[in-house]
Amino acid sequence: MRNLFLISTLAFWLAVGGLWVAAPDRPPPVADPSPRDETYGLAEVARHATQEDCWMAIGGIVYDFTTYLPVHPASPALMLAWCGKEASEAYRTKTRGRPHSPYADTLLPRYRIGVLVP
Amino acid sequence: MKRLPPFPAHLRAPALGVVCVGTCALVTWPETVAIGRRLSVACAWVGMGLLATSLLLMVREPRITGWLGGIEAMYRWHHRSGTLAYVLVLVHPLALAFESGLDPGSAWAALSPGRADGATRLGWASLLLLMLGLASTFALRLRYRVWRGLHALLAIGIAAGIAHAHAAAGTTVVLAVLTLLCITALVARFVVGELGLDAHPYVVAAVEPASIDTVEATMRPASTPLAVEAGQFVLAAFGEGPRYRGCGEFHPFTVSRVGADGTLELAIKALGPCTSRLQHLAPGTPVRLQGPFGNFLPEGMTRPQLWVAGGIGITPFMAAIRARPLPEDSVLVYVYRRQRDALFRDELHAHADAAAGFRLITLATGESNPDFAALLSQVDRLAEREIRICGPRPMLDTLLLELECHGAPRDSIHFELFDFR
Repeated sequence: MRNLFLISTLAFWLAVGGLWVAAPDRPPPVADPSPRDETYGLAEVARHATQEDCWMAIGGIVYDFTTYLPVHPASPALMLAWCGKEASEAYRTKTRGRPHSPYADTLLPRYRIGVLVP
Repeated sequence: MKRLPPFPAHLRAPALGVVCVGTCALVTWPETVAIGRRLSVACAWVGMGLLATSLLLMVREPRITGWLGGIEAMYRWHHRSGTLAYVLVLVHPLALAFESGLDPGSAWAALSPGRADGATRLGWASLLLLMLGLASTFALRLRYRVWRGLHALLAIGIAAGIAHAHAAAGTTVVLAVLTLLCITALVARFVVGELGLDAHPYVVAAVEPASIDTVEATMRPASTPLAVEAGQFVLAAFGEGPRYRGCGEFHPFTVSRVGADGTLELAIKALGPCTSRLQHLAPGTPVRLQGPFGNFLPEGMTRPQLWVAGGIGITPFMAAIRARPLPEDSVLVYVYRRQRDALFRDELHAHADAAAGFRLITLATGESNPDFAALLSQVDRLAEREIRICGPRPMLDTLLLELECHGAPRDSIHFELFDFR
């Protein structure tokens, strides 16, 4: 057990240290805020409210979270409840008064598909 | 209807782990498609199941320890489940970091504590506390009290891990049950156990020197006496008496005599600060006893016996010799450093002279290791004997090898180490 502890601890810190060294100084580039963004209304967003087709509007941006849904840290069911909806408040508070992490913010641009119009 | 044979006691502690882990794995098995996420979630829940098992296996309640195959078996599996849980806890964040590919930038962004939310920071705190606590567990030369303090970090680490799970995954039925199990085990161990809420009060009635660094203390029950059998041990915490101030910690001591009136005698060797102070123990000192534990020398032994004692390891054998007739054809090999270190030497020789079928072999080894090959060559019918060993770890390791060479069947060998770290 002692050797298992030593080997696993060493391997863990080597992996973490390797990532720290290999990671670029800046966070991964976000998708460019292209003027060619598609525009969607809430009615269009609401048509994508299932596990197989999940859109959300957050802070005026429309996201397609279909591929992200299965890998959400908390139960996917929590997120599924917000598919097809304006989910800014839920994103800011996680419905429990706590905001999402800065890391979560960096993930958002990957799923951006357009902007919300009234 | 034919009754099923009882589940073997030595398999009950690992079976408890299998139940905890299996339940966690079955109920929480991730249905997500991403392999990294699936591995990470599975490691987290299986690790939580193992941590809960590890905590449950440190509860020192006599009936529970008896059912689970004894305190030594429990501690062995406590260590194993705790260490395996730790390895899985290490895999958990790494698998999560690589869930969306092998890009180091994304992986570091997911892992970096500097950019994490509260849940992830709790996870990091838990992991680091577990790391520090386990490092102290495996540190060989740490003083007992320092080790004890650092080992307690593991409990804080597990609490942080549970808080992390609640924050990251939300409270589920499985998590609530695991939390309850962990809290119950921690309360049983640190509140009931360490404060001695379940202890029996005794008073020191007499203290006699037994060797240069050992005293034998007689304990009289102040209320209901413990039902102790020869060969068992108790945990004792000595308090403040008229002429002695105890350190109040619970330490294990094997009972060296069980009196008909409920009195117990304990042999206390100076091995650390607390037991060194106990060499000055005085009558009238209150003492709290927990137990009894162990089943090293059960009643009803019928096969020829070979008992091997090293140093203070003579105590359970002395209790058995004093308590009841021994099986026909019993040999006791007693090794110690110097003559003045030997406990109960005169009493043992007197018993060997008086009891037919009991043979005593003693050896003062000095600073060298005992020559077990020579000692065992003096014992006939080795393969037929039940062999019971009580002594320090190095002696046990050497002896086990030698017994194997002499053809002693492994399932005839029983030993007790009293290594409760």
